[in-house]
Amino acid sequence: MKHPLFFLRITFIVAIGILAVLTLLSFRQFRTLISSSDEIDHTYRVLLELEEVVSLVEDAETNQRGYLVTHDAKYLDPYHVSHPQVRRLLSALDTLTLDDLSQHAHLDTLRNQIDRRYELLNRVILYDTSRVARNRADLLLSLNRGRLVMDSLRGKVELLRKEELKSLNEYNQSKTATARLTPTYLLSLSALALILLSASFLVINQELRRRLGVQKELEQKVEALNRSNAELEQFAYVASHDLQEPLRKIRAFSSKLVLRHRQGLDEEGRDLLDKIESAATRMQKLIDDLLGFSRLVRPLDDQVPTDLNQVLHDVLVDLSESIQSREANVRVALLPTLDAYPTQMRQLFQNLIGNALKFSRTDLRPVVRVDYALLSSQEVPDNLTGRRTHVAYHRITVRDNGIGFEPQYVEKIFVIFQRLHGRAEFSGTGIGLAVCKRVVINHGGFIEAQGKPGEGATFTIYLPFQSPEQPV
Amino acid sequence: MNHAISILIADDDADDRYLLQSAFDDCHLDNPLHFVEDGAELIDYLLHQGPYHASVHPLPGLILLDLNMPRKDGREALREIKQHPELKSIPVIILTTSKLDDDINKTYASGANCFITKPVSFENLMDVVQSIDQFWLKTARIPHRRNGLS
Repeated sequence: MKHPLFFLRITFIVAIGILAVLTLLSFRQFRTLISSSDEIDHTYRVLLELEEVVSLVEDAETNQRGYLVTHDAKYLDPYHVSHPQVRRLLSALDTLTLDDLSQHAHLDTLRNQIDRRYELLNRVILYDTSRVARNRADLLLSLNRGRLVMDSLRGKVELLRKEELKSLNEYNQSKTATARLTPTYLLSLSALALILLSASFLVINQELRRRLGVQKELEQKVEALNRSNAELEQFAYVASHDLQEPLRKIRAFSSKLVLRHRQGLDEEGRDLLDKIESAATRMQKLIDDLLGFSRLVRPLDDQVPTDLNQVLHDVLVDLSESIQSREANVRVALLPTLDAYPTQMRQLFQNLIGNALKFSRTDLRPVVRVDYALLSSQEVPDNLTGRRTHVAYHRITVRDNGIGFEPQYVEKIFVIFQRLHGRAEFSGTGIGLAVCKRVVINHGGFIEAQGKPGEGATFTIYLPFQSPEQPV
Repeated sequence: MNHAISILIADDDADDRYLLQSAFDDCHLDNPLHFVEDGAELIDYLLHQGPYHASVHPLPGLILLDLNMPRKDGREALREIKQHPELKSIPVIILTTSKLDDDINKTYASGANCFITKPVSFENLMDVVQSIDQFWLKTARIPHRRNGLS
């Protein structure tokens, strides 16, 4: 798997998409279910009320008949209230069928038929009570018409019932169709989401294991590094005290010997003592330098905003004697202020400018130029480091017109105690550029050298630019 | 002239004691020199404890103190001397191989009167002894010591 992250992202996006679709479908399913139960409820209410209407009208007929036979007024009491009751039921049915135009129309017809039925019932009762027209034929006609109206009324109710059942049936059919389809969708989508999530889990698990392994390895390395650092510090302590003590004695005693017994020694004896002294001095210098270098490995204090112009000024004051004696021309551009270890920065420029003066040509007036530019990350040469972690870098160059060096030694010059010249030619232990490199590394930057024999050397330092809002 | 000012030197290193003794000799200084080998002995000496009796070992006019010594080191001994109501008036010159800023700052803060890094060559050591003689014994005026603690 080349890009596990890319794969994971795609898988997760697809899985989330599927889950979203599943949610939508389930929601729709749920809504259909709710509305279908509403629909059933509605239908049954309509059917119930229709039945009630019919039974009320039938009751009215029964009461009428009872009255006609007995002329007892107690039959008329329920009869009189039944018509308003029926009308109330009808208006309730009106609101129930508001959404259905044809049912509404049927209901209107039914209402008319019912009104007609009651009118006929009323007429017969009126005939009977008032004895206005004892016309038997007229009475029979009314009764007969009443029966007909009742029959068509029943037919209408039946029609309404059927219509209502039909629409319920249709609704149920379409519902079953979707209900039959959706579980298949839901199941297959869920399965797909499940597979994708399992696959991503496997990938994540694998990656996590690998990383945990790497992390453990790193922790072990850090531990080993810390141990070796501690040992190095121990070594530095030993070098500073235990090694220097005997050395100091050698020098003290040999100088005492020279002082006390110079006259008693011949030329060779004095020469040998001088050699002892110069070798011991050199060893002292090496130990001092090594100690100084080892202290650079782990800086103790904090970085503070450091004005490099001030640093350069101090360095030039320090080197003023050498600058004057060589009549050197040192030009420094305006430099930035950055978070740094001030003493280390001073060491850095002291060494670079000191070298530029030291390795000058005897036939040429030394010219040393310090230049500055702010570069974006892309402008920093690639070959210097694989990791350009900052958006911008300070570039400071120290250029001289001195003796230069063979380009093949460009790596060697930064190695501690590596020298390109004999001690008779140039003094020094060969630690200066190793210190420079260390200082630059301590500040998260990098340094490179360019040179040609006789044409001077250029040292280029890249230091990360820290924006004020984002101190590193 | 304070010829009688005696000097107490605390140094664990026999070679250094020898070199100092010869440097004083070569500079023709006849100040009495007393030697102790660590901080604990130094304090014993000053407080007339153990083998150090006031009649044989009078309080010195000046102390030369090494920092890195076994048992009780110079820093600790210095603090004790400078906190002692009577001993604190004795000038203490730190004479050590150390040149660390930290040592310099801390010993002055503890009340050291002077800090000198031991020179490497014998010639320079003689220069140091001469400077001490010139300044502390001949130029500066320091408290006069009679016999032991009062």
